[in-house]
Amino acid sequence: MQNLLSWIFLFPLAVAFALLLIPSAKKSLFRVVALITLGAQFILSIVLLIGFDSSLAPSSWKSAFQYVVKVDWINLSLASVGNFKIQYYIGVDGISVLLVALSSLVLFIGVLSSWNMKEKVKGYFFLYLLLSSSVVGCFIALDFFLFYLCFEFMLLPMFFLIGIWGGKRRSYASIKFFLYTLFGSLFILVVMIMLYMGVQEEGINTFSLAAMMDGNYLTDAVLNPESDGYFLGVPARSLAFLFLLVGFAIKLPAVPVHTWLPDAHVEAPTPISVVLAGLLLKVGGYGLFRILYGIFPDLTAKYSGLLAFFGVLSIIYGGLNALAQRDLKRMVAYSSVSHMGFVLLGLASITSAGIAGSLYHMISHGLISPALFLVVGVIYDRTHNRTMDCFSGLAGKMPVYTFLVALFFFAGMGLPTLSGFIGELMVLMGAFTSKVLAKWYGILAILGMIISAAYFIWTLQRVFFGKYFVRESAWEPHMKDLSPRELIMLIPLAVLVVLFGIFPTWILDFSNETIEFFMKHLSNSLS
Amino acid sequence: MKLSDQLQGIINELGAAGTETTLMLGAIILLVFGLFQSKPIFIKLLFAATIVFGIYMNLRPVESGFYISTALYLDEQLVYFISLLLLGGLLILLFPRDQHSVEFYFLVLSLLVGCSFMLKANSLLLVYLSIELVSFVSYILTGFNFRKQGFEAAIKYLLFGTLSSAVMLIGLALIYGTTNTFFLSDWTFTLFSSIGSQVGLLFLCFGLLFKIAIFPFHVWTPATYQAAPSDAVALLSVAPKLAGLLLLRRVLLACELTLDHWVTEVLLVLGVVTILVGTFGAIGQNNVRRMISFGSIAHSGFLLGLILAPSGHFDKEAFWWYSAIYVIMNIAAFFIVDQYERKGILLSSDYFQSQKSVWLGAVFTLVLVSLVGIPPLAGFTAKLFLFSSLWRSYQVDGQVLQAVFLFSAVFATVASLFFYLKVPKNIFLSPKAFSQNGFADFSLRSKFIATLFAIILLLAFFVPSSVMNLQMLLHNTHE
Repeated sequence: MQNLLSWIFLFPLAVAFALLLIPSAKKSLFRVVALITLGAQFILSIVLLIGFDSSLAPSSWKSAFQYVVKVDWINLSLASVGNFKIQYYIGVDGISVLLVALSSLVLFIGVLSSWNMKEKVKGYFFLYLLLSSSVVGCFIALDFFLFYLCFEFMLLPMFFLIGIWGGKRRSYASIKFFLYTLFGSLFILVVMIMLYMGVQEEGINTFSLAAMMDGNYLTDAVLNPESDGYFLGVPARSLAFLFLLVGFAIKLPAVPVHTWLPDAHVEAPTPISVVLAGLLLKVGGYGLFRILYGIFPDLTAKYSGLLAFFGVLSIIYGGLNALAQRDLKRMVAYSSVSHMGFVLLGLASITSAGIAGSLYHMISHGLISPALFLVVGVIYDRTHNRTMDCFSGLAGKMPVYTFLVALFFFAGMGLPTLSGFIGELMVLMGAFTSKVLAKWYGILAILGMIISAAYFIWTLQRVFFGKYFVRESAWEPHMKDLSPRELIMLIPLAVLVVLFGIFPTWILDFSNETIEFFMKHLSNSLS
Repeated sequence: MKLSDQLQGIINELGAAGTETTLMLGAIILLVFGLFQSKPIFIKLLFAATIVFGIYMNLRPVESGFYISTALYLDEQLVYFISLLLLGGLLILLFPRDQHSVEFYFLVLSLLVGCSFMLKANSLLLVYLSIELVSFVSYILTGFNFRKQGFEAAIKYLLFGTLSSAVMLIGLALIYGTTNTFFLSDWTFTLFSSIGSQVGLLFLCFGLLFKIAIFPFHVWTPATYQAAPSDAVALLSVAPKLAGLLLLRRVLLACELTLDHWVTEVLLVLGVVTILVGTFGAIGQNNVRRMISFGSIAHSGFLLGLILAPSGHFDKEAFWWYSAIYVIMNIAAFFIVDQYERKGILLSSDYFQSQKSVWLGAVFTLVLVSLVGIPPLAGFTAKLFLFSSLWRSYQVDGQVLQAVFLFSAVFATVASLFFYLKVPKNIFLSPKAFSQNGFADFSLRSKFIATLFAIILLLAFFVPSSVMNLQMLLHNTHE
């Protein structure tokens, strides 16, 4: 049991390298191996959830994690830095355990969705498994260096997955994605070095996130909250806070650094869009939780207005953009931008409702957005077209499909009894009860919800209702309802979206104690 | 004192130049035997044996101190770096070479002798001579594929080189005139209080910056890298650069310059400008060799940053790491470029997509990504050490230029991704299908060697102590 997390993390990686030994000609073998691997990962993460003790009330971040593995990895002595010590330090708390479970589910569905992949299958599944490992690694890493390694290691597989298997403008999209994210992550790297130089554990400089969150600073460290360090005339802590904010906001993404996302989504093949929207965006959100808020709690109140502003801007600007799209996938991509704005707003409120809502919204969006990309993929597979104007009245021909689309659209716009509602409701509750935010942030966010209702319902009406029409008669024979494989992908997501909408405590119970401690952590340093 | 004792003393002292003597002897033997027996395998073996013997001589225990009338200085650190350069020279053997191998390897050995003397020089005369030796060999190697383009580049290199060596000579004259000493070891900070000696110092540095390829002395680099034969470029991009950096380091140490001295500040500013010029220069390049050359100019800037960290905090380990990894990355990159060129694929603006070269393309991508500095490759650790070192020295000295340096380095890293990515983009992502007929796959040997380079880069990231222990290993072999 102790090594359960390592298995979840490293098993796909090991299989990825084993895949290289299989001759490329055995095309169908690769997907089976990948399916079994990620299936096993999913089962292991269920075991993880069952074994997770959600009643544990931590007293410090050091004791807040379960399934902890802490082994020395790199130990170098350098003249300038002293000891350069990096640990293989992993563990989960109430926040990350949910994201690990979400990851393994979405990754599993991603393999199902890549079932009909025909070109260069070996390379595809090799990269996919590498990506799987690094996504999970981001959520469980408790050593900043390990986190950064996984954070960066997602880029290269993703670059190739979009760049080789993508659409027409794939090379533009993949390079833009890579550059944007690297730009952000180098800001994170600088802060990582600053923190490493200033934080110690047992007398040695450390990358441990737990020690950083507990605030074990050296007395003369530039980043020590009590020492008022300056960097180029700017308070060093504020600068570090803003650097991290930029780094994770690009990944999240928040307006105005979101422009890589629509391009990447439109060009990526469906399964990669699923992983990108379902998980990679959550890595940005998780970074805000764990690193930005975890390590810089004293600045959260000061900058909450900034976070909330960009959150609301994302909600409204993303929504308006989605409203204007004619390409279904682009519409869904912009709706993701809009939804991730709620994560920022919830965090900015610094209330337990808002922060729990933020986490809930990440999980719920992690189910809804993959489903939305999958349903767009259904049309695209049949017609190689996703322009809204080309279709109308699909409900008559594809009733089951239309039912599921409607369900996910309603979940996306936040209709009660569906999971999207709970997250948005809690975030709004947080925003309105917040001591640090003005009321108009919440009011504008509600306006954003109305916009989201508008684009989802409008799309539903244009594409699925009305008189049946498809632009090309050649598509006619392909317009059949969902195949069993597609149902296997979509039904679990639909069931979970409904269940989590009715029983939110199933998720919240896992994170209650952690969120409570998180709030204590924030308010301690606020007072 | 008896004559025999005196002779013994001289022989003992000569031991300090044992490496160089070995290499020179080897070079001469190579040249003489090459007249009769010019089978490539024989020449290569002789070359390898010379270098291995040179490394052995280099690693013999020698006490750190001054030798041969204080013309040479030697310490443990220098010994490691000389071994590193010689190992780099050994790696050149991996490149196929089918013509003029006798002369080529003779020149390479001479280059290594020059570099080795550059590291050890304590007398200004030796400084000048060794730099000139390295320079002249470099000019010849640049034109060594006997094509018009190569001659052009060589002449360009020669002209710039002559100019900078003249400037350096003026510098040496100024220093000698004001300080009255030829030896670095006699320098003190007070000797450099006059403006004349400081200007002389700056001019001396200019001569070294030319070898390192720091702005504005970098102009020869792209043409040279483009025109010279691959194995020559691989060595030229590594050995003179590191030798120049280490000599610069010793010069700055010798005159005890503080970080806020105007000469150091000029060097720091040049470092920042070099990073930016190298990076943004590379973005516009279509030819892969020119692109890597601009990239290596940027790397010179990064390395200069490590050198200029204040004396108390000079990061020997970080510099060792960066240089060792840089040697491997650069030689690997040119090795792969060479493989493509041998297939007639000039990696210029018009790339090819090829199913068959997926493996080599992937390895090339890894090497280039390591040059950018992205985990999980050793280049990232090098960048991490660089940033840490800069941040540390900023923290200690609070000098704004250090911070500016740090941020230019960070931005240059992002921007460098953009141009290095052009290669995988054109190999893997371009819609043009590979259409050249009769394309044979790369030989197993070349794939194997390239993969080995990539594995070293990966391994060095995951087990960084391996690179550090290389020092220890070298240390232990001579005990």
